[in-house]
Amino acid sequence: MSRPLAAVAGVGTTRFGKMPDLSADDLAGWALSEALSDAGLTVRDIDGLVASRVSGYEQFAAAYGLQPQWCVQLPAEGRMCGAAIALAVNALRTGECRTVALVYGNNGRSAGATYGAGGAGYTAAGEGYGTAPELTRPYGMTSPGAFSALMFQRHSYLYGTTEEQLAEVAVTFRKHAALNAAAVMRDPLDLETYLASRYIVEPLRLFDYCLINDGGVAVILTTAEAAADLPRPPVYVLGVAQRAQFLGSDFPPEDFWAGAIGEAGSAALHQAGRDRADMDGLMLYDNFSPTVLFTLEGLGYCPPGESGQWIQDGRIGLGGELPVNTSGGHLSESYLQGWGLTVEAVRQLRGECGARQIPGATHIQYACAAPLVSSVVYGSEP
Amino acid sequence: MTADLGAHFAGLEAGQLRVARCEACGESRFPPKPVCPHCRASGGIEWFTAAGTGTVWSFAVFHKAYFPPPGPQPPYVVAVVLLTEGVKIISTVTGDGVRVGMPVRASFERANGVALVRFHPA
Repeated sequence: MSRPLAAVAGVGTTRFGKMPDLSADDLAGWALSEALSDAGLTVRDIDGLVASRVSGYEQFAAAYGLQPQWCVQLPAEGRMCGAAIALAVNALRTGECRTVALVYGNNGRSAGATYGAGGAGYTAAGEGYGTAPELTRPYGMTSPGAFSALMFQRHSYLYGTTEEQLAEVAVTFRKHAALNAAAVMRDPLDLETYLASRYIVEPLRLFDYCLINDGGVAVILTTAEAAADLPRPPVYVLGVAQRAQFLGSDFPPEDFWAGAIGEAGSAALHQAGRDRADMDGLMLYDNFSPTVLFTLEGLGYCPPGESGQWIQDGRIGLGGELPVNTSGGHLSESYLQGWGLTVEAVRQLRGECGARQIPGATHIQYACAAPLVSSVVYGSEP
Repeated sequence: MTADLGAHFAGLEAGQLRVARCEACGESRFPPKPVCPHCRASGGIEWFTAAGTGTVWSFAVFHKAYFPPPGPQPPYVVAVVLLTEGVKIISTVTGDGVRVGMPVRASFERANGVALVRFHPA
C-alpha cells in the first residue's frame, strides 16, 4: 500500500435549491462553517484556501475570518474540482500549509445562470467546448449540452447505444436521490416518463441535463499524519491525477475522451496502490447523462462502446455491482460541479449515508470527463 | 484565441468553402491555430478551397430556442461535417432523415446579412 496523500478532516454542505437571499459567498461561508464543525476546527486552524466560484478569494477570506499562508482561486468550471484537490494535496505534501479549506459557492439558480447563446462569466463554457464561437453561433450551435448530444449521437452510430439505454443513467440517479433528503429532485422517474419528456437538444432530453440550483460545499483537507487526531472517521485521498485533451477540442473528441480518462484514472489508481476491483462505488461527473457512459468506458470499467448495455439491470444502482452517484449526482441531487460528489464519496466511506449507504464501502473513485480530465481515489484505509 | 478567420468568411461571401490545413503535416488546422494541434509545428497555415463534399460526422436537433429571432429557431439541425479533405466544420444539414455517415454537399446563402454554408444530402 502506498502512503496516503492527504486526509479529509471535514466536509460541509448547505441546503440545495433556490435561495435568492444568499450570494455565492454566503453559501460557501455557510458550507465552510459546517465543514469546520464537522472537523472540530475553527477558522484559526485554516492555513490554506482554495476558492471556487465565490466572488473572490480575498473578499471571501476577509469576510469569513481566514488568514491563510497559502491561497489560490480556480476558474468555475466543474472540471476544476479534481484539479483543486490535486493542488491542495500538493500544497500539503510540500509543507505549504497543514489544513486547507476548499470552498465552493454557487448561486446559479437565483442569479439566473444560463448555458449557451453567449452565457457570460461563470458560464463561459456556455458556447460548448470550442474556441471560435463566430464559426458556430451562425448555425445555432451553442451550449455544453449540445456538445454532449453530438457525442451521444456519434456513440449511437458507432456502437448502437440507444436512448432507452441512456435513460438508465437518469432513472438510476433519481432513485438514489429519492433516498437523499438533501436532493433537489426526488420525484420518481421511470423509463416511460423519461421517454415522454421533451428533447432539449435531441437526442438528449430534459432529464439528461443537470440541474441549475443554489448551494455551497466546503471540504477541509489535512495531512495524512494528522488524520489520527481527527474527530471523524478518517477518509484519505489515496490518488489524484489529471490529463488534458485540449488539442482539437473545437469538435467533439473522436474517442469520447477515453484516452485522457483512461490515463488519469489509471494514474490515480496506481498512485493509490489500488485496482478497479477495489472500488466499491464511483462518483462520475454527470453534467449530462452521456458523460457517465463515456467515463465508465474511459476508466475501463466496461469495454469501449458497451456502456449502454453494461449499465442496465441495476448494475450502477444501489445494491448493484458498482453503484454510481449514490447522492443522485448533478442530475438529481444538486449541481455542485464535482464538489457534491466529493462530499458524497467522503460520507459513503464514513458510513454516514443511511438508506443509500453502500454496505462496507472502503474505496470510491471520482472522475470528471472533459477537455481536462481528473480522477481522485478516496479510501477509508491508508 | 484563434488565428484570423477572415479568409473563411471572405470565402463564404464568394460562395467558396475556404478552410485551413497545416503546411507541415497537411492535417486540418481549422479553426486555424498558431501551432498545429497534430504535428505542433508553428506557423505555416495553408488556406485552400474545399470541394464542398463530405459526410455527417454527427448531428443534433435543437428543440430549445437559444437565440432570439432573427437567430435560428427550433427545431433546427446542427451537424459536424467531415469534409472530404479531412477537415471538420460545424454547420447545418437540410431536410429530414439526416443521419451520421450520410454524404452531403455544400451550398452557400445569406441569412440576416451573414454569409453561411449549409449542407444538403448529396
